[in-house]
Amino acid sequence: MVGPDPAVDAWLRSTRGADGRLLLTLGGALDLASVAEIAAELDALEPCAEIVMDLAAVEFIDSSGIALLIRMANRAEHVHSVGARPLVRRTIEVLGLAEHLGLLTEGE
Amino acid sequence: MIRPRPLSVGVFALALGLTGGLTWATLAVRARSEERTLQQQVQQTAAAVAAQVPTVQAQLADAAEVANDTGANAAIFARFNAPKIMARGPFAGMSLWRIRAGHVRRLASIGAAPALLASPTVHAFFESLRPSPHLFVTGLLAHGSRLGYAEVPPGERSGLAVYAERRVPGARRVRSDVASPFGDLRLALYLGSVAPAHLLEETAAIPVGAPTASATVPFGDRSLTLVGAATRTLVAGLSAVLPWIVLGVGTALACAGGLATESMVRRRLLAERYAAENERLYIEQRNLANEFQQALLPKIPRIEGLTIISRYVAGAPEIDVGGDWYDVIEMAPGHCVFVVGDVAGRGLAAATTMASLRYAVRAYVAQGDPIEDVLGKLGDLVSIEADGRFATMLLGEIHLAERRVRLLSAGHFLPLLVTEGKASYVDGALQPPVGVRPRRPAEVTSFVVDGPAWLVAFSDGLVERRGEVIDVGLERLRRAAEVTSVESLAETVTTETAGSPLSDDTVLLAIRW
Repeated sequence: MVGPDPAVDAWLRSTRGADGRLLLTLGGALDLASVAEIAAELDALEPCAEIVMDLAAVEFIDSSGIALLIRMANRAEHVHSVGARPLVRRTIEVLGLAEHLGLLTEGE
Repeated sequence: MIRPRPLSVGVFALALGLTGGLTWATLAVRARSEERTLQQQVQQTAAAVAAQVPTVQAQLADAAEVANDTGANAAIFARFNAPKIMARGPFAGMSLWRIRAGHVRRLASIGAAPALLASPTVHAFFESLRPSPHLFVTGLLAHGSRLGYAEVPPGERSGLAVYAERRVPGARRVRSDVASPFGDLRLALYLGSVAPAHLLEETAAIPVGAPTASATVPFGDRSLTLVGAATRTLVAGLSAVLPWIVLGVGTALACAGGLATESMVRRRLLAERYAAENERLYIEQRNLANEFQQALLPKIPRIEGLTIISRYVAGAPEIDVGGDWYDVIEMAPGHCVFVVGDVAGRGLAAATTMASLRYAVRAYVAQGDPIEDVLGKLGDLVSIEADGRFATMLLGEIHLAERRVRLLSAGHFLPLLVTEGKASYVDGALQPPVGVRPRRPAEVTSFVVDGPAWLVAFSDGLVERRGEVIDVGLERLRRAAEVTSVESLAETVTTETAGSPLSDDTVLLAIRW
């Protein structure tokens, strides 16, 4: 994957729903530079049964960002990724990660 | 080792030289001050001595006037001038004379007889007397240690002259009053020029060779020369001490300067030695790295019945290898396995992971493992949790005789199949990348190729552009494969992607049979 463009920072927000589901909202450009900043927040998350990753605000993703998503998905038994833009969606699909990241097809 | 460097010796010597120069200069300035002060004091002393003259002259003029008025009466002369002769008076003796047409007659006298009369200069002296505003002075130093004064008032027409003699201290030594302003000086007073015969008074013998100052003042019709030498340093205070302060401080600075220079020179030499050592180590390491890189570069064997084109460009500019690789392994005649792989990231870190994957694949393939088993065993080599890294990989098996291709993709692009001007991507299942635990068993895509065809495998460096959905790049490549020959396509890998600082590792492996 191509290298980082540090113009856009990445951010991560997590909220825990009443049913115990963890909702992770990510945004910005998930690349080599910005992922390092979020990784600490990721490590602070406790494993849980179900994670929903909202990728609607993610504008760009490279291999570092993908690695971050994989590691987040590894912390849960069930993972769903929603709202991915075409750029991000196709990247995930071409890597064969659609199932692992629970990438829902349009309309799901 | 205490041997000092030439530079610090030089700095020390220079500073010492400067100090010497400054000290000499301050000493010279001090000597000059001393000279001037001595000169000043001698001058003042001489002036003070010469100031006596008007007094003597006034006294003698008084006596002359009285003598004139009283018709040179001897008794009156004696009585009038008696006070001047007493023990504390200024004169040893006084006398009244009439000088006419070279004939000299004494009219009156009081006190001691004039020593002048015994002097060889008596005639010359009397002959020199004439009306004059000046006092006439003669020295009688060899004959009684006296000074003789003669006053002939300017208007005097009758030839009257008053003569007085004054004692010069017998030993010619006068104890100087230490408390007086001139107590620091040894003084010698001469009538006329400086010569032992002319010496009138001295406070102490002036040592030969001592710095002296002299002043000459008019003394009647003669002159007085006063010679003075200092008994101690006249200039006091800072001026006196300054040369030693300069010397002391200067020497201390010279030592400090020398030491500082020595320290700096040594440190610089040490730094240079380290720098040279560092450079040597760097070159050594770089050579090692280069050799290592060369060993890691993919090498393609010649396979009977197959044409293989391969291209490799490393993405990171400072290194020749990266996370991408390709491999072709001949298992038996007409049976080979090829691999195209991409470890996430670039540079040395990706290259080391790549190396372990590449050699693991070769080892399992050499053992005879089918490609689905090979993939299964690779999961232990890459840990996304530990390294934050994963690898995509395309494994392919070619059976020439059967014209069969078996493909297994772990998150990697499936290859282009190019036959007779038509290019299309092989359709097949995708496993997740190496490093991600698969949730289902590996699915191999198998197909048979009719007729001559190119199978073009590649890494994402060839098709990916930032901001583009990946399909755009894939379509671009597919169309290029239809339009140009695969050979030309291979050429563009080196010209287009090489050298760009943000480029990814790029790999192209094209196999034709």
